[in-house]
Amino acid sequence: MVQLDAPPAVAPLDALYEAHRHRLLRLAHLLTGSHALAEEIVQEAFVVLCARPGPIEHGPAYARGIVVNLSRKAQRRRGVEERHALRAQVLPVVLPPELDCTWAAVRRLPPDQRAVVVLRFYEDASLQDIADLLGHPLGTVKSHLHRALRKLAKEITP
Amino acid sequence: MTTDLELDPRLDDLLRRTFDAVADQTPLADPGLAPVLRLDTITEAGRPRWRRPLGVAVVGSAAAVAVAVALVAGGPTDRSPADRTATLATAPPVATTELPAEAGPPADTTYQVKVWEDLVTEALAAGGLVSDTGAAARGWTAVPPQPWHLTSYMAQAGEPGEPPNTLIDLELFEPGRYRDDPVWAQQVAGAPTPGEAVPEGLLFLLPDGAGTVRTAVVVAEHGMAKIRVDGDPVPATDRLAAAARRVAAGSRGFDSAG
Repeated sequence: MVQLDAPPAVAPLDALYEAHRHRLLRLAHLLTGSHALAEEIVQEAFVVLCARPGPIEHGPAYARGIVVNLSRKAQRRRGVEERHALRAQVLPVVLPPELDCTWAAVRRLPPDQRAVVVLRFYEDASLQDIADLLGHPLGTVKSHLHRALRKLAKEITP
Repeated sequence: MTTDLELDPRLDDLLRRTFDAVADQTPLADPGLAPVLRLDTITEAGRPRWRRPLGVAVVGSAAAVAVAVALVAGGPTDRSPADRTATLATAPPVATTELPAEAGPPADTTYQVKVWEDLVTEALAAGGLVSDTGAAARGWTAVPPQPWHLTSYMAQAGEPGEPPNTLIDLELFEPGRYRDDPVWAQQVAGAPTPGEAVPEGLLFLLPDGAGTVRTAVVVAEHGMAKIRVDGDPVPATDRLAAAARRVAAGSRGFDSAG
């Protein structure tokens, strides 16, 4: 439990930052495809944690939830921004051809489907955990996963 | 429903290897320069005062020393001088934003700053009279309402002949909506109870990956006002903050007329 309402509580949040920032950054990168955006999202997530009153239980999971939701929002917003010619910086990722093809296909998925796939295959989250994290019914998560995998299978497998 | 596809071993393997490879290539800032989050200054003695404008959270990233500054610049709902004095008294002796040298010189006198300040002024002058059509005529682009009850207005500014480098973005909710929407409440403020953790007037200054403060976000009455400078030069942080506050204050007019 991270206590946020007293000066000594600064340390636990700092510790949370130190221990989990990199993992959250990787997760946001996978969800958004942009390192610059991922940096901003993780920063914002910790600002949100700062502003939250009272103790935070399950800090890492809570932070992960914020990052996932901010990333989904950012993906939706990016479509708008790109129409205004303000593109998020995307650093090149050098991958073997097979993985590069997979990564490109993942990046083309709609935000919710992509979030489900990343959480399932990178975070090894259970479907119920994903449903809780995204605030969707379990059936919706299954549907997202099914559709995403069907698309990926069609694009990736020869 | 998903079992057959989930168990496809080749796809499973490809996805896992891809995600691991991409994650491994995520550039990570030097952890030794990680931000120091000063909660006491953000929350004024530890706990936010809801529905009061309170502070400025400056959270630096890798290259910047992060500072949370209790600021008394006022916001959409202003505070009394006594309150301001009290805030100053309780705030730690951190009153400046430490930007890295590579952030470049302050750009207060540049045309670019003038342009976007003029644009903000124009938008505010339109105030409560502006409609979606009027906003578009003034250079604000109304984005169709989203499923999460958001209407967004975007405008850009930049030097003549150059690509726009400043995004001014209003995210407006239907009155009362964001307080009723648990998803947004969580996204905006991490609030388990909608409406309790979105202190109106709170200003966030968010640096980019290089530690330069380019983004200011203010919680407004019915949404969020955000200004982001994508190009160079970067305006001084206080100018950025002031503009964001003005956009937030002006957003009430947009909201009521929308």
